[in-house]
Amino acid sequence: MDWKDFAERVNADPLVARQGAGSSFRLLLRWGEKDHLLEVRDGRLAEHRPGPFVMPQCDFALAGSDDAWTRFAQLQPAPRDQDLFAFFRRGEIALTGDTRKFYAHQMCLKLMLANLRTAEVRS
Amino acid sequence: MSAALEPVTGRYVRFDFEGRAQRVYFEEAGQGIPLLCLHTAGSDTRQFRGLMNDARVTQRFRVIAFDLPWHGKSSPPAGWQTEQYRLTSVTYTGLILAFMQAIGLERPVVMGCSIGGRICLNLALAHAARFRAIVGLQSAANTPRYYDPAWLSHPEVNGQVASAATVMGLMCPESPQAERWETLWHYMQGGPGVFRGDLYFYQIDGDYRGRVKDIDTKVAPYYFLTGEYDYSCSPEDTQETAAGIAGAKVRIMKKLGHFPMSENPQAFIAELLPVLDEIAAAS
Repeated sequence: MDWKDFAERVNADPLVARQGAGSSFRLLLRWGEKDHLLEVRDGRLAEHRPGPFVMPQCDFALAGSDDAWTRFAQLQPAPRDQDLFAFFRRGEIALTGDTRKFYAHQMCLKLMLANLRTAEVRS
Repeated sequence: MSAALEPVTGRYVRFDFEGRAQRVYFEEAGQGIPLLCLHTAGSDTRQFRGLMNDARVTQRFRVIAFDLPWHGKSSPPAGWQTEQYRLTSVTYTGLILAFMQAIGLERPVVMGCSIGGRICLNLALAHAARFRAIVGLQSAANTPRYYDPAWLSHPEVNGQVASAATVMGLMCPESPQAERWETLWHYMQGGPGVFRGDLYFYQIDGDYRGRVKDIDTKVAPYYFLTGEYDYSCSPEDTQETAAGIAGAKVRIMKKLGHFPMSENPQAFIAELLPVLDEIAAAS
């Protein structure tokens, strides 16, 4: 997973630009043992900082195993691996933090994370 | 300019239900065996636009779909402004039967999706003789709660966008973009608190586990059709429910998700036609 390219892809994505306009939130994405802090400002991925962190500040966190995120991020995910809520139902990715912010910015978040889907996916 | 007038017509019907006046919008197309279609939670009849525009269906079936009260172009009953909308098994079942009576529908095939697929199980349990056949799309006796719908109706969250975002991943990623975003548009137009109110039935009140074994498919045959990308009513959920119903038929649909008739009408109709052939042959 090339996280530098990720930010570029997100910020070039017309769906994120339109449907995510106005969204601002800070997400801690825990991909297995590796942490990533993603700060979205007005629908743009303004900052991405890879961990590790000591007491990272975020609005909400999404934590899953390396296997779960790798399956989520496949270019063509297997049936029922295509959405965060599928992983919530199976207990493979957990949401913690401010659930109001998660719901308020869910559209931007999901469209942003869809840009994880590239041919080569590693943490 | 080229223009095409669709064969779909829309009308309103007024009837009393549970002591209150209802103004209900419905659409129809085609002629022949009545096929009554039930939309998903938080959406409306537009989900069946593909079915109503396909001559392979409408030359043999009169396709009818109505917007539940509070949904689409149906009104909420007078006084709605002081009450919280909550769909229950009793109300949903009664509304379907009342609508059938209001427009004079005799023994239709009923086909519902998601909450519509769930209520199909109760129609089969309690009113099977009123139906020629029952087709449950994304139909299972129960779905365990895996998210809190309270935020879908909250002053600090745009409920229309949040509702669309909550359901967007239920579709197959390869379904046509235009049809997927049309499906989401319907969610973005839902009334405040309506999707959440429907989920009360889906997540809590409409639990038919332990009862579906009493469905008699000799009275009305029951067909389950479930898209493989649906994690809310998954193929395993459908198969577990169907396993308890003698004579039920199951079809797992490839490359389709939770909104088969709306997210990819052409792929769905290809799956549905053999079922309709079977129903027509038996009629």
